[in-house]
Amino acid sequence: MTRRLTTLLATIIAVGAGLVTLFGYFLDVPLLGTLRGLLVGWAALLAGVAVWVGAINLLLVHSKKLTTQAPGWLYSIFVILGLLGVVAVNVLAPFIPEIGTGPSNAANQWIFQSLQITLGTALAGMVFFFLVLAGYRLLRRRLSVVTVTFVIVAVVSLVVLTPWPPEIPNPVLGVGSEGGTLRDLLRALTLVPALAGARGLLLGIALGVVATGLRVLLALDRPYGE
Amino acid sequence: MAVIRCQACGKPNPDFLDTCQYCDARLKPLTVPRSPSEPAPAQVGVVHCQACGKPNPASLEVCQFCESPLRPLTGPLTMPETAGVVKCQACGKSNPAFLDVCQFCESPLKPVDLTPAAGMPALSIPTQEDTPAASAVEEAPNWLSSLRGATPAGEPETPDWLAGSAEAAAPAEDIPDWLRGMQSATPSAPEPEPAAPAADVPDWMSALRSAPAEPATPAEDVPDWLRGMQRAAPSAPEPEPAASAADVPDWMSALRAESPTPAEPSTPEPLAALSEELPDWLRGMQSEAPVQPAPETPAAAEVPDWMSALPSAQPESAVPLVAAPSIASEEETVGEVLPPSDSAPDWLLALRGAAPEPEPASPEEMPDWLRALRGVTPAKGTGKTDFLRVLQSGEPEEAEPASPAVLAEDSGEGGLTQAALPAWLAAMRPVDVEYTALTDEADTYEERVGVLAGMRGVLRAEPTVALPRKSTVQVHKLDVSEGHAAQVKLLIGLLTEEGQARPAPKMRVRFGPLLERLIIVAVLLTAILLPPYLVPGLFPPPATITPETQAAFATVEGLPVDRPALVIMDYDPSNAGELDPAAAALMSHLMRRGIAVVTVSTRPLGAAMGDVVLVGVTEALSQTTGFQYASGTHYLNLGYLPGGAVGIAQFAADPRSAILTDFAGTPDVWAQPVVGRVNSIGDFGAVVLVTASPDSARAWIEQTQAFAAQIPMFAALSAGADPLVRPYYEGDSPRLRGLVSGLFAADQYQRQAGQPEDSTLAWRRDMLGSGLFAAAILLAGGNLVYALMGALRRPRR
Repeated sequence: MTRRLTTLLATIIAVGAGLVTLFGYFLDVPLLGTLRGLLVGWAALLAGVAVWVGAINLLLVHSKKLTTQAPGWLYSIFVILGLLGVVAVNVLAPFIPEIGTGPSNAANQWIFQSLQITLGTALAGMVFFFLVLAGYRLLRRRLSVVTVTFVIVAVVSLVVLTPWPPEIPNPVLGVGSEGGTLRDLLRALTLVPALAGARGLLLGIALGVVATGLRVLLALDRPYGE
Repeated sequence: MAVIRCQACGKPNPDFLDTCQYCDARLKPLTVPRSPSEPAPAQVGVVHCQACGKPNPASLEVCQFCESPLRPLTGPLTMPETAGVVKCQACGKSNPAFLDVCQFCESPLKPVDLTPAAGMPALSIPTQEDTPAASAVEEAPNWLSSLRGATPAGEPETPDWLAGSAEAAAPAEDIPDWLRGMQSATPSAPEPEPAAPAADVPDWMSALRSAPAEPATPAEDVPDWLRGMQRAAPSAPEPEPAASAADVPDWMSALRAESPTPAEPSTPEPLAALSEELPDWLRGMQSEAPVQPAPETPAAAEVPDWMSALPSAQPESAVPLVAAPSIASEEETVGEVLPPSDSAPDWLLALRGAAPEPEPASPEEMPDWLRALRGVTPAKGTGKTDFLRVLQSGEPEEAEPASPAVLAEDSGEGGLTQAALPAWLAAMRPVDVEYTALTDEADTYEERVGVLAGMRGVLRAEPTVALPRKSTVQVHKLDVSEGHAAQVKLLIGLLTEEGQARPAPKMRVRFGPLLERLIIVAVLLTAILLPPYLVPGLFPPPATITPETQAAFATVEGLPVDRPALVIMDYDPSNAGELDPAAAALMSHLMRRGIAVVTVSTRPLGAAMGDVVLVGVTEALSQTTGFQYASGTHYLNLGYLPGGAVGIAQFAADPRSAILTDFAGTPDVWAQPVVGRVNSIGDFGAVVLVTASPDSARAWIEQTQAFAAQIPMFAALSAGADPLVRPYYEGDSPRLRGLVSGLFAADQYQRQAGQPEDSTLAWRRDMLGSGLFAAAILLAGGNLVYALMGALRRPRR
């Protein structure tokens, strides 16, 4: 009985909040606008708290891995030390005038530029090598129409993205001002199918969002009650 | 038969069983074994056979082991006759009543028809009218019947063989001698004179013939048991016995004593005529047949078991005497006629009653039965059995049958050891039954309340019965054996092993793929690193600009300067190399035009990236222009906007409630001049989206549509996000008014804006161009080779 009441109450709150937010967009009613802003503010606040919860969870998980010496526990040491170090710096920053205050203090800037940007960029550069190596042996693993098509599109895209060196001829295709170069042709071959696919994907996402929103507003789906 | 109900299964069982025949439960309580000296108590319902000493159920008439009669005969020797069953007197076995001949020994079961033939004098055999127990006559054995036919009684029935002989009796010479002797031996013949001369008659026949003339045996010569049997005879006119009772075996004497004895003599003539036909040995015996003196009491001999089983011949008035008269008369005849002879066999001598022999064997040497027949009195106390003593003393025993206990005791004292029962029979032997008083099962409960008040035996719902409760009996008692424990240990081991992480099998390093991998990395590194140093300017700056980049540039050029531009920095440091130049070019362009720049990010690291880029742009602009850009006045970093799409929606509707402090930690961020007039996202002059994520771009585009539809929005994207964001640019009413995609577009934008070229941008352009070109060559070349190799291998397979 209590469970049913709880589910019913949650459904009422969810449907009510959704309808208020939805009608707040379509109807120019100050009350609905105020309620919509209030509800969206609560949601954003909860999302901010979720960041804190995520940070605490990260600390606990890696602490457990460290204590149990689970596989990869050595990396957990660096995670914990980094988290505690950044927290300590930001806690101590107000007491050190030379560092500055807030997230943009000098310590945070040094950590960010020296560690995060460098490491992040290096990892992104390594992805380039991985992708090239995987694409190089693609047809060795599987030789099919799909894989062949994928390889051709990848090669053409790389050529299109690459600045066209002046030493490589770039003939003009077409007549007069309506014509284009070979690079323009390759760019069109790449972008048109990609654009079509992206649009279809976006349309599908939009339809899915609408369907999901309607099901939630009609209480057909109750993810909050599970 | 009594029935004992099994206490385990409740089924009935015979009372002589120890264990239940259905469930093998013990029916009777175990009794403490008695000491050997202690006599066995009398068992209820058990009768010990006097012949074999074995126990029998009381319901049986005959011993189930030796077929001896179990119950003491309450009268004279009467054949037990049950309804429809006639016991053969020859073999003692039971036969149906409708049979005339025993089915076992073919002896006649019914009395022999001694009706004389025509011309034959009627034999004097007492009829049923003469005997009160006529039924016994029918049960007489055939041999007795044959003997009986020799009696002079007027029996109408005569056996065939006797009838034939009777018919042929007229010529005396045709009659055999022994038959003639028998004829003369009829004691109660009315004509005492023999028809044949005495010389022709054998001695034993003469003895038989002369027997009727002899006086009756004195009473003292008759054994007691015989005397008792004689007394049991009805008071019919008793003829004079022709021979002394001592010459007759005991059992015959008993039969004789019980006979009513009309003593009708048979016709002696035919028998006398037969004397000539007698064989020599029989004739010799006949000549030597003396008058048998009255024998002594046939005592002191051991009797056979069947005799001992017989009770004392105490007459009982209720039981009539059966068939004894005729038998007795015949015995008398035989005893008188048979002469003693040395050549005669012993049994014949015994039958003759060889008392007159001068030197018989000493009584001690004689067998008991022979002594009993001869009437020899053994030494006192030698070999006398109890019943013989009783018979000898002439004191009639009690007619009441002895109790089984007494019988059992007697059998033990008489030197007869009780045979050991076989196991299977011992199991059937009834044992002591101790009947315990059973409590009354009647329910005495009386209802006190309700409509049934005052009634007894009503069903009641007691709490202990009605309410469920846990059984106190431990039903499931786990009995773990060693085998079970071993199996459990094995199962636990298997489960534990499954949960543990197994070390990865050592991969065999193949040299070919490794070399191939190293070659690819080397090619890529060479292509990336060598051109900036070896061939600088391999990829020259772009001479043209793409339309979308040009649209972005034009949008910035058209922005009002009195409203700040919101630059969304939604990318991480991993995309800094691609997006930093575009972000810097856009910011620099904006700030060059005097438009304040406000940055915000929905990513935690994006806020820091925006700060880095913003600080770098302002420093660069300050160096080139000499104008000092101040945070809060010319630019501002609002920092991190949490909540994802919700946070964007909130920021678009009410930025003041979404952001409370800037990235520098300024408490009253909205009091700063750069954002002093901003109350919604629509108050910004433009929205510049710098992101490497299509989702982030889509969220900003969708969530700010309702509040910033009129303000321009353009984006600086990574090359990877371009295809998915481009649809918002290319359309009838595009939300994005321009795109700056990738590093090369940033270069174009920078050159279009007239910004000084970054020294690192040429390096980036060369490294990126050569790297992408090398990647394209590797992909095309490698897959072409593998495709050809695959095509070549396929037909071979």
